[in-house]
Amino acid sequence: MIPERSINVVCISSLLIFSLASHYIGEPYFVTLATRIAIFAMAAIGLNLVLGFGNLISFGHAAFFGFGGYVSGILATHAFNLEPILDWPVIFIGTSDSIVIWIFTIALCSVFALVIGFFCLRTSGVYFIMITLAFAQMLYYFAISWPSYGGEDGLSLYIRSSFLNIDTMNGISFFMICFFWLILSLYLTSRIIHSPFGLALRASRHNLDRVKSVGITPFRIQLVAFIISGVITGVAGSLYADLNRFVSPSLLSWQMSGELIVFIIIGGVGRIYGPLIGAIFFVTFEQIFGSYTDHWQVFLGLLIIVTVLFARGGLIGFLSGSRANE
Amino acid sequence: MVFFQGLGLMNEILTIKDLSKSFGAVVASDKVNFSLKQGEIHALIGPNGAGKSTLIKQIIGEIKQDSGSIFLDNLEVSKCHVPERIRLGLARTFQITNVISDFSVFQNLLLAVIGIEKKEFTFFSKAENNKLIVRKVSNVLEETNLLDKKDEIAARLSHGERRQLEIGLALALEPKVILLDEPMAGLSVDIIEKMKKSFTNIKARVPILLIEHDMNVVFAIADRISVLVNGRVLATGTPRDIKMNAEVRTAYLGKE
Amino acid sequence: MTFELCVEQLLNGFQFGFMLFLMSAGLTLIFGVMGLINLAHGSFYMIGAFSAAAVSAALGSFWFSLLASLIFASIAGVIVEIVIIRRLYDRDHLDQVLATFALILLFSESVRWIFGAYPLYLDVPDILSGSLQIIGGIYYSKYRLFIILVGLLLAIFLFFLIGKTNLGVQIRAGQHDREMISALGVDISKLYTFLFGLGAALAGLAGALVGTIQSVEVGMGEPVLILAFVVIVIGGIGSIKGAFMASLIVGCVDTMGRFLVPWILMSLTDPSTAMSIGSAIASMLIYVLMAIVLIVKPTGFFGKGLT
Repeated sequence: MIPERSINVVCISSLLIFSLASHYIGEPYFVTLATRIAIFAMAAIGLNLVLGFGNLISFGHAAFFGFGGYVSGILATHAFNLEPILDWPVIFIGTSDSIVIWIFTIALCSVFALVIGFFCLRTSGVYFIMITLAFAQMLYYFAISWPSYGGEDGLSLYIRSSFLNIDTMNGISFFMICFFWLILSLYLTSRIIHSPFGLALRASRHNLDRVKSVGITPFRIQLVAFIISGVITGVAGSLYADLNRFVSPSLLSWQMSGELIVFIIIGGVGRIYGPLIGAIFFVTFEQIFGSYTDHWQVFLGLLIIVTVLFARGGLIGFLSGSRANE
Repeated sequence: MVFFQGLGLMNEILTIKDLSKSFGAVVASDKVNFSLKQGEIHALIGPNGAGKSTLIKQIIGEIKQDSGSIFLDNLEVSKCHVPERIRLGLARTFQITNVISDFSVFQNLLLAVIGIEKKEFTFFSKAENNKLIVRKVSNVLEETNLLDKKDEIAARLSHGERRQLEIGLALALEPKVILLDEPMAGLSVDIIEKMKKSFTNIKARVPILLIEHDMNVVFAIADRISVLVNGRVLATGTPRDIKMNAEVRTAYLGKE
Repeated sequence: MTFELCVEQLLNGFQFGFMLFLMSAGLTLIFGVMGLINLAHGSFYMIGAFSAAAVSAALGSFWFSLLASLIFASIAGVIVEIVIIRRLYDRDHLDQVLATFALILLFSESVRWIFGAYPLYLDVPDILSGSLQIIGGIYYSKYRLFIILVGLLLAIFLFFLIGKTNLGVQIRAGQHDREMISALGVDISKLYTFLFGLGAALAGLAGALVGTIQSVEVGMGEPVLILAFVVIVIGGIGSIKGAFMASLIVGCVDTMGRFLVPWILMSLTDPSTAMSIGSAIASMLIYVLMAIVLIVKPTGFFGKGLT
């Protein structure tokens, strides 16, 4: 059996090495692939905070992924077209500066997650699953029928937003930006999980009465976790918009929410690195099977069913032989 | 805030006034008056269905009373939610042991200290690095004889040890009142003896409201006893008074 | 806007509502009795529609195609229950969500494999084509009236099944206390398989009925599934009565909203903006409705405090 820590180190470093190697042998496609992995992993890391550690099964996290994508897409489009988003009280024409875009994404995703979380966390169990799904669908249909930003066809961006003096159109530079965010979100989750807040969140997984009986209000803990989670997934969405230079309602779809859960489960629930391993596996699986048949999702479906029924610790659990939860 | 100085109720830590609760036609609490004084163990007894658990739930805040009020250390808490009451100094143990089963003993107690110290919104530092918190946890570990089980996962503890932890969790809150809900259920005789001793130790610091079925325990350690029948307090008094009370005998003890 | 148009939209709302009821009845029973959240319920809707399309193409009979949708969807339901779902009853919701999500991938991609990516179409039989004059000078599509009628009959059948039969006693017992059904000496696994098959058959029939109005294509089941979730959240999980009321409410609010919101906005702004903004707002209406219901009653109209 391989220690869990080694698996984590191998995964994160092989992602870095893979993209650097692809860059130097001149395979930009693989660099993009590695970037996608990093972004998907980050989105799922956000979800894992509530799903894996708080047992809050959100089936609507695509809402945050897409919301982050649209925030950055809309800001960049306005900046490119020089059309003000606001003309009162201040004139604001949007921005193509990554740092400003990230700040906006974080701020707006917090508010959005606060509102959604406030409603959804009034419920629990299966109601929570369905309501998070329903809210994400609401946003999805809104994005489809709202005509200003492309509606069903989505919104194309002309260039990636700028970051300091780095050429973000260069694949490997953009990868490094996303890789930085990935590392940051892994680091943040791991700090949060082991903090007093994380302890309270993990305690609220199964036992709300006990949490209340030590003077902690579980709703507040869960709401704050939901906000942090939504922000991480939202920033990932913002990066994804930049990667593809395209945002569309499909980022908000229930399939996207489902895939985020799949990353977590394949990697192993309640493990900080689980989503990363899940994302690596998922994208690799898609590449390999997708090259043989267009119907690779049949095999994905079968694989997931087998994982759920027989390998409940996910890949990490399978490799390390443990079912640890931290 | 309501003060009772003039009424000579100064050393009452928990006061329940005219508490009533009905479920449809069933009256579960009927103008219950009850008090817990500094330094005492006050036992609440009564036959099944007398309304003990409804009363407890109202004291803790899990269900809302129809009328009447609850004072904790002269502060009205009748409208507070559970966590607020806990932070104001009300600690409870659960009838069916209720610890975080995938946490270690240490982590369970850590959670309690974090809760009462209002540190649950600390995001980046490890709780284990906070000296004050760790010292408090250690104190409780020592007091409850769980020091050598510190890193054991709660699910793997024996039943007796889990009850110890349950009491430890209440003590870790440094409460003004401890409400023990059938703490002896399912324990062996020698552990019951140990528990009795530790309760008498605890009451010097924190008064205990004890709900217990084992009458031997109740009459051995309680300073006062209240008998609840049909949602009403039939009598309150010393164990001796209660034993002599004719009404209680016919209504409750007489059956045995 | 005319009165006739209003009545027609209201009837459309009812038709949509009855269709939603066929979907949500199975979903809510399966959750109420087996404690299973089944995302793959929309797949049975799709399977019903595709098998109807295939049979209709082969035999040319609408009535046989409806029968085929019932048969194939229930067979698919029974097989899935025996092979996979059965192992999920004791699992937590996360496992259930994931395994049934995987089933969607499996079914959707398999159907695409067999039938290709192009949508299929079902024909309305002659007897049901055209419109019928109802009150006054109002005409309404015979086929949609037929769907309302079928929905109504099945609703009555379900209420009878649950309220008056021995099987209904078992189902209701199962909703209240799962251990009680075994105490009643019922073979639980047969009951579960039957219920799952029944739910799948109802969903399949809904798919076939709607497939005649819309096109039959891969992925048609999931939007309806999500609406069915909204329905059972509003109605209260496990309650057939709640599902019935909520289906009609959601059907009418959605249909009337798409029709009325742009119309109301038109009095405030120019027609093209009103249409686009109006349709965006209308698409969110039922979710707003759901949020309001949850604020007032977090377990839905007829729900118990399930977690």
